[in-house]
Amino acid sequence: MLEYLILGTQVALQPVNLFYCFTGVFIGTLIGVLPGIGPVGAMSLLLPATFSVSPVGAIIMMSGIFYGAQYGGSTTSILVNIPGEASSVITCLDGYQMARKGRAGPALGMAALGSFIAGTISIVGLMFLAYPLAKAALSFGPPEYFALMCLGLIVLTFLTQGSMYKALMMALFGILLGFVGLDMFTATPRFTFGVTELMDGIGIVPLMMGLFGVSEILMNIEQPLKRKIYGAKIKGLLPDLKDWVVCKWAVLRGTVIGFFLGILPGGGAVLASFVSYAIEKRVSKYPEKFGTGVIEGVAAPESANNAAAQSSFIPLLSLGIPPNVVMAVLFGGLLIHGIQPGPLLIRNHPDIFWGVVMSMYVGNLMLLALNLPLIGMWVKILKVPYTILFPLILLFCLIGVYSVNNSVLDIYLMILFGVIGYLMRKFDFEPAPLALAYVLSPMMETSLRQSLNISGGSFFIFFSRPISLVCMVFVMGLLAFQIYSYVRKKKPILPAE
Amino acid sequence: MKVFNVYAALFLTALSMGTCILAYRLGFGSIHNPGSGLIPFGVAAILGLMSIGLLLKGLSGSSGASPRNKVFSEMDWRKLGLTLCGLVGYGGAFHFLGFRLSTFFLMLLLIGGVGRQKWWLTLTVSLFTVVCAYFIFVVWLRCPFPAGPLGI
Repeated sequence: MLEYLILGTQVALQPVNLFYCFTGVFIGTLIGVLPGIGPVGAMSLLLPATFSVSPVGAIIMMSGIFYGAQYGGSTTSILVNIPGEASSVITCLDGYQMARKGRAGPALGMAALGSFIAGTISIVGLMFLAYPLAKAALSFGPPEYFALMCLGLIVLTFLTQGSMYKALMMALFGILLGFVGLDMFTATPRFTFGVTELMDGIGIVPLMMGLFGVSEILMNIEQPLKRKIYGAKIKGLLPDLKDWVVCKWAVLRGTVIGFFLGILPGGGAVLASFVSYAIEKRVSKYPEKFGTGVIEGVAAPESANNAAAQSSFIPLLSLGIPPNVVMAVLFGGLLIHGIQPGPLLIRNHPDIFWGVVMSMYVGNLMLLALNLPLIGMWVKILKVPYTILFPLILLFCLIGVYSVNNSVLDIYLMILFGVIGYLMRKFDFEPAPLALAYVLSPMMETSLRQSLNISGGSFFIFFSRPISLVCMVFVMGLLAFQIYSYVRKKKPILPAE
Repeated sequence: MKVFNVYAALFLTALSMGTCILAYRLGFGSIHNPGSGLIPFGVAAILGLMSIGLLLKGLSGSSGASPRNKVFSEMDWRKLGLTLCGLVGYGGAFHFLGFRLSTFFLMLLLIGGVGRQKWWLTLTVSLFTVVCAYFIFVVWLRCPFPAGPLGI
């Protein structure tokens, strides 16, 4: 492994890759700070800009956007009480209260340092887990892959905040969208309505930008965000010894929780931050004080979301299965660059895998520098009125989506998915299951058809192999649990009225 | 939310029915060698059944005070309409007017029309944005954007 670590370090420290890494973490922090566009939108937006970049540079930059956004998201949570990122929602509870008590500095400092520690530990875990997992995955066949993807989708729908019933419907809708284009087995056009540009399917960029970028902006312009920025000068960014004593276990617990939840299909930074906050509150000696400005309430979720951001690369890079929507965009980015994520990635492209891993260490260091000394700059950016910001974001979406294929149809598709995403938010439908299902759809169909070919048409193939059996048992267990909960009226699966 | 569940269920039912018909036309093949339409048909059928479930749930019981007005009253139709018109218009005018002019007009509409900023600020930001976007995307990244009939 040592030779690979050296190779990765060499790749990560190349000046051009350092530039892409810095660009990625800078943009990530920026979009984390700015409410209105998340990492999914930003990564989709920048995907076309990476076409002229080497695959490793492109992936380093896009990864940097993701984990950079986790850092930046905490800034708005603490100073404005508006989460820049979904994974920073829970940080608002104690972070903003700390700022009101004049402790914005230690809150920001602990968020950045906790994130750094968690991110770094998580990368070590990534290095040691991804390699053996990829080796094991070489023995996976179509039934295992199909079962794993089913599990990922079901877990995601199970973990959505709203109704699981609606989330499942959205997952099915996403799978249907993934069928548009040429059938991979027979080359028959499906659901293209004679439009040549749809032969390759609906592009990932217009879909993601529409669902997560345009729809978010449409939501924000009708209800302008009332941002009351913490006005006092921020001082004393480094937490004192007392803060560290209180937070050391919170950071470690957050790291462990985040790491494992990040690996799980359907999990990710959002879930990790909520779970770690809940656990921290449960183990605390003074749970009643949570929500009033307790520093552990900042340290635990911020550590967890960063650990999860790094560990969610494991299933993508070792199994080729994106565990969440952000990884789905990265998956699309790898495919566009001609790289097939999966067990063979580490063997065939060690420069990419180890280069990206080692760049994460560098990126974490850069983020520490960006988030502590330059905090004043981010606060100033927060003061730019939204009426100026949103036209710029929309323009970048339009230009970005057009430049993928130089197609105006992509612009219209993005607007269409923007409207669909907007209505989904209004009607309490989650866009994440749709997006992940859309990305997984071609792989799911391929592995299902291959499995049926192998088994001579028998679905028992999914229950006759240990890994697929375990996954299917979990899938059915989760579905059965939901139905049972509905019948017992404990947690309705249909939306509550 | 009941009334919206009905709308959503109706849309998804129609979508799934349409998909089922198209998938049927593609051919099912056999279970051990599925054709192009078999799996889309299966997925659409499950979605259709679930949509009918949502529809029945939405139609059953009393709806009480309709939340419809609340959700729609929060909507700013003017801003939404202007923004969407701007986006669709941008797509339509992109090849006709060219990248720079269409971008300039879009920014005028979004900053001045939707954002209701002062005219001088709208003009300055719009011009500045066009110049920056031109240098970033056309000069630096060499994106092949249409110049428009006037070449500007």
